[in-house]
Amino acid sequence: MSKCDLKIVLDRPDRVYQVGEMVTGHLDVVVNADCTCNGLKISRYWQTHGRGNRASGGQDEEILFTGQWRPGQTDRYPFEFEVPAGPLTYHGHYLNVDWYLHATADIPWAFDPKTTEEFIVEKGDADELGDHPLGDRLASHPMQAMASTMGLACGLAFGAFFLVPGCIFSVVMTILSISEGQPMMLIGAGMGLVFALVGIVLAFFALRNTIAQRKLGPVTVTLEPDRVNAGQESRLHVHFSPKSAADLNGLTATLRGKEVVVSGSGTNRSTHSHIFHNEQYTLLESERVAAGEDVDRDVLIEVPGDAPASFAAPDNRLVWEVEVHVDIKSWPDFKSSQGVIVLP
Amino acid sequence: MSVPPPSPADGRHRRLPFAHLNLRRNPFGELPLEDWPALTVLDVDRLLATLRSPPRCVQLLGDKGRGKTTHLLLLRARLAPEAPYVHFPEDAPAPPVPEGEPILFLDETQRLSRRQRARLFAETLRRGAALAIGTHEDHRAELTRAGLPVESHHVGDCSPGRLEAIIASRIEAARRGPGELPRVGEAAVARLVDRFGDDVRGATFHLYEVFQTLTEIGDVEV
Repeated sequence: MSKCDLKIVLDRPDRVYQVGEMVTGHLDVVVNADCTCNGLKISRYWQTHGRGNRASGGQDEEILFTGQWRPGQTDRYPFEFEVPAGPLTYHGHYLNVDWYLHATADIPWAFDPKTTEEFIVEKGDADELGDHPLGDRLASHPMQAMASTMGLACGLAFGAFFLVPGCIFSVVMTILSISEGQPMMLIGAGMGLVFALVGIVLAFFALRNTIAQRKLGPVTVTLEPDRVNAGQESRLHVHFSPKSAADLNGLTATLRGKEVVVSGSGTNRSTHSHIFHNEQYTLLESERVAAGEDVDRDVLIEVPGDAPASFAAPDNRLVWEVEVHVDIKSWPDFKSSQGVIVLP
Repeated sequence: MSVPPPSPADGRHRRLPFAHLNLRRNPFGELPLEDWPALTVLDVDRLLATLRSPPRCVQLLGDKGRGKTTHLLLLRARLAPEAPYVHFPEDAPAPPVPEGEPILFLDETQRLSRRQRARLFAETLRRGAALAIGTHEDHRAELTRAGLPVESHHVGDCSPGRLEAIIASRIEAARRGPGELPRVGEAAVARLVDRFGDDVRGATFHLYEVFQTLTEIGDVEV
């Protein structure tokens, strides 16, 4: 048994608080034995839990007491914390974000008693666009541009890595097979071809948009605004003018919300994604577009009113994106993703 | 296809997480390293005795996901909680190994070069220190050459009894309050062993998904 027991009691039994409100309550201490307390501390913070490595933040703390306690004594220490502008409580599949109050008493030469309780943070009426504490961090991620450039470079590098040795190996084995009269060496040549094929597929995916734009001309995709509150709309504009006549199977935009978390470290590090919202808009049905014809399409993408806000912490992200897909008949398709920051 | 997002409107975010299961979180989610030792169900007394009589090395050998890190952290928690624990990452430069420590806990030592390991083993012997290492590769020959006595322990036992104990300890650690908790019974554990063999991590990942779908406390089907 510890020298004292702690219990956090929140004034609001449902523990639901809105941004900007005060979390109030008291910390009950029941003293079991004579002891000195070097610090009775209560802290407030958020923490992720679920499939990803834990992340935390928003730490604030208060020292409620230091001094002597006598056995049989029962004390009550009130506390209050302001509910920050976020992140809001979120319970998803791989990602959960919860707010906690954690109390601990520093008792020298004895087990330090501690206790933890959650509280729930909801969107407040005072929330305005741009108030999100993670907004700047989310906005400062040049994710799209970086991902597309890196994707192209990596795809080409990996493609070349498989393609070149695969081709060389295949040719060498074929020549050896013929010159040495060893038909079994053709198996090696076949393996080389498989290797080369993998390279071709990788290079194709890396160059897909470049190839698609040879037919469509430069495709411009803009999303305004790219920071919206839940329930607001964002205008997506897609423009292209084909260099030659193009048969299109369709032009679609998909609003997607997903949790992306990373678990483990080193070789055990793995990424897990869970799509929780997937909504498709059709901008153009199947149609033949003449060379030089301007294709200008606008659509209002509506972020649901109850959409969870974007969230970014180490190894834990909740992201919203709009993917534009131009499906070209008998030709590589064009695909492009634009990030949207959803504020509460 | 449109999948409705979890929303405040459906009350999901207004409830405390996993309160319907008398839990604080999914018991099979990712845990911080410091929580691991408290949740292990291993008997490491023999290995502790070895480390208590330096100069010696305890080698924990096993494949990915079998529990090498868990063993190392448990040994550290029982023997020297303040001793350095160093994990050598795959895709980053090796962090420096602290010098002058009476005991070291080193994870993924197969990622060090032979020369680095030889120096480490020789230094451990010279200073009369103890060393606990987790590795995918057997370093016994190198340790013997360095003259450092070694006890090698193959990690990977996943008997139904041990897996049942691991599962029970993780559920208990996520307990919210007094009362019943979801139960993963013997038959369910046997099915997990059939399906995942000694891959404890695979079994716990599967249980994570199962616990996401539970709506009430009771016997858990896997």
